[in-house]
This record gives sequence, structure tokens and C-alpha cells, in this order.
Amino acid sequence: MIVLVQGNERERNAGLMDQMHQLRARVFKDRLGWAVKVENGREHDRFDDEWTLYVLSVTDQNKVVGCLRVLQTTGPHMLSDVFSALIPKEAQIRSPLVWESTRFCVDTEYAKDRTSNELSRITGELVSGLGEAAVASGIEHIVSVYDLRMERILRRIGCDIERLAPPKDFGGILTVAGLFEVNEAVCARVRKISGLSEPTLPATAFSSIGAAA
Amino acid sequence: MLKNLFYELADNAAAITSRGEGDAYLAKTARQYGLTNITYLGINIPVVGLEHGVYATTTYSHDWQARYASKDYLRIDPVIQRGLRRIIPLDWSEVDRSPRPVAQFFGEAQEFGVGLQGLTFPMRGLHGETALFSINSNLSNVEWLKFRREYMRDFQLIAYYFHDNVLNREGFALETRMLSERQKEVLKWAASGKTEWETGTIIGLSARTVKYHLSAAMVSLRAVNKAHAVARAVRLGLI
Repeated sequence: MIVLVQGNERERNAGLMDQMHQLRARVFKDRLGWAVKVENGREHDRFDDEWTLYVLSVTDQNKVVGCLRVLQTTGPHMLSDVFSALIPKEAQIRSPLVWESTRFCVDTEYAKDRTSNELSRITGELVSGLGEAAVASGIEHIVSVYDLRMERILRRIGCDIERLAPPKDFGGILTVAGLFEVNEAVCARVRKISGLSEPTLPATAFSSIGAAA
Repeated sequence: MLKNLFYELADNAAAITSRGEGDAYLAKTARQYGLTNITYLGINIPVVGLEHGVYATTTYSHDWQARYASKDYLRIDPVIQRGLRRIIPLDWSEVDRSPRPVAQFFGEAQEFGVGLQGLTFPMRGLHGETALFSINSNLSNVEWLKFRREYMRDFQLIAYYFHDNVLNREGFALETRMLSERQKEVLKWAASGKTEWETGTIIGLSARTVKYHLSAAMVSLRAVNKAHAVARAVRLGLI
């Protein structure tokens, strides 16, 4: 199940948020060896402030098994503020129609104990959840910074992420900036390939009046 | 018809040079889209002489503005409390109206002519400033849902361009509006009638990446679509 947590809803979802920061520490520091800051087993960075949207994949037992973070590109974001060396100046973006997705990860320990499709299902759920929220907000593209391993996983579930420039070495990790278009067809394709039968967000997610239509 | 109007509104937004013109622009936009009100609230706007950097402008009636100020509603207004520090636009129907003061606040707002429906676009800029751009309407629930689907993107752009204009006209220069070489290149091919796919084939990019550069150029030019971006780039002598 997808749970959206916006910056101003973090306290109300403190348990899920804490699990997310622990998952990020396990994945990015312990497993992938990224140079991220971990304190008390939780990974945070300066972009984890109030102007965020978190997309969480949560099990029936309320366990966070996947996550990503969304920032508006009109304000501070990773591609412009941390990884600007990754892309030519011309590909820099400030647009109200483009969101940035970062800190995308899946709990592979959880996924590997289950069916072989579980990794795809969680990944697809996250991408579709992100896409559905973006489309409902009038957003047209998602930019992202990721490593090559992630790129393969994304492409496998039908997310046609494209590089904006060749990958570069960041602390021993081949890192790349990419983008994909979001619209209803893209979300539907991702869901189909990753074995999800319906949209990850209820039609009423953004408006209780949706039910009346 | 609205599409043509949208060009004009985007052009007008760039041409606003005073607060009065800004107010007139909001009123005109509201009229053209059949909205009851539009409100812009900037916070921490980096302009000298603004108390707490607050810059507010609205088409709400003077009576409602006076009432709002005298009751100090800024402190309980749930749209401001909930609209800030988020990314997804806030539909006012999401706001829990069960607390008495909130129910009373919305009840009064309607009496003073604020539309039944509301949608607030949160924005975060580069200089620590934030802004809320709110639209109101009296459309039925079903019509409102349709309106949202159709114009969500338009209002993301209108909200952003208006915010940009507020900073700009107060003498606060934003990032350079210069087009990158890549953006000029895709605009030139678009100007000569090439599709995104054709342009991509010519310059060795995918159609989707071409579309992305066009979108970036469009925002840099404060235009509303590809054709508009081309027209502006030509008019400004950039391509």
C-alpha cells in the first residue's frame, strides 16, 4: 500500500517516517556504501525538511518496505544544489511542472524472502504512486539522481528513465541524472508490468469530493 | 478560447509593474476562468520594507479582508496552516471542518463571497521564500473536479509566474532567464515546424528529452506552451 506523507504531515506519521529513515540508513550506507550521514541508525540529509513529499510503500503489518522523496525544482533540490556537476548547465531545471525524486530505495531483505516479483511490485508501486500524485498535481516530468543499479530496476518495471548526461563517479558510485515523463498512460504501464491491478492512490486521495464524481 | 486567453495572461503576468496592476491581473484571471477569487500570499519575500516579508494580494471583498484582519483569522486559517510545507496542491475539501472555529471560519467566508471550492498551490523559491496561490469557485463538485483536471497545469504556471513577477517587480532579480544552447536548439527546430521526434533525430536525442528541454525553455521564457515559447523567443530575438 502506498502512503503519501507531506512535509506538514510528518509528525502525524512519525512511526512510518522513523522506519523510512532507518530503511534509508540500511540501504544507502550499509548495503550500497554511499557517503551519507547516519545517526542512531537513521539517515537524514538537509533536504529532509518541511517542503517534501514522501512516497512510502507500507505492508499490511505497517512495515515500510520502500520509499522515495519528492522535492519541488523551483526551490533547493539535489540536482541543482549537490549534483550540479552531473549535468550540463543547460539541463538544469527550475520548473513548477517538474518534481525531483531522490532517496529511492526498496527493502531488498524483505523482498528476497518473498516471491520473486516482490521487488518489482514494490518498485512499481512507488513509481506509480509518485506518478499518480504528480499527474494529479499538474506535473509533467520527474528528474532524479540515481545509481546505475537503480536505473536497471526502474527500466525493468517499464519506467523509461532517460539519462540527461553520461554517468559520473561520485565517491566510487557511478551516478547519473535522468528524467521521465509522467502521465496516466505511463502509470498504467508501470502498474501492468509490475503486477499491480489498480491505481495505488484512491481517486479521493486529493479531494474528498472525488467520490461524488 | 481559454487557451488563447492563457497566452495573454502569461504575457500580462510578465508585464505587471506595480501592485495595482498585480491586483488587476488577478481579478482578470479570476473573471476569465469563472473563479470567484484568487489570492496570493508570499512569505519571507526578500524585499526590504515588507513586515515579515509578507506580501498579500487578493480579490476577496474588502469586507472579508477587514473581517479577516479584525478577527485575526490568519492564526486559525486552516488553509494557511495546512497549505504551507507541502507539495501537492491542497483542495479545501480536504480540510477537516469539524472543529467549531474552523466550521465557523468557512461559514463566514462563504457569507462574505468566498467560493465554495478552493485549491491552494504551495510554492517554494530559491531564497527561503514561500508562497500560496489560492483559487476559489462556486462550481458543483463534479464540475470542480473537471476544472481541476483540465486546468491544474495552467494554474501551476500562473502561480509560479505571478510569484516570480512579485519578486521581479520589487527589484529582486531571479536566476538568469538566458536560454541554454540546447534550449535554443530545440526551439529553433520547433520554430521551423519540426516535431519533437524529428528534432530528436536531427540532434541525436530522444523525443522525450527534446520535450523536456522544450518544457524547460518554456518556463525560462515564462510561456505557456511550445508555440508560445517559440513566439516569445523570436520576439525577444533569442533564436
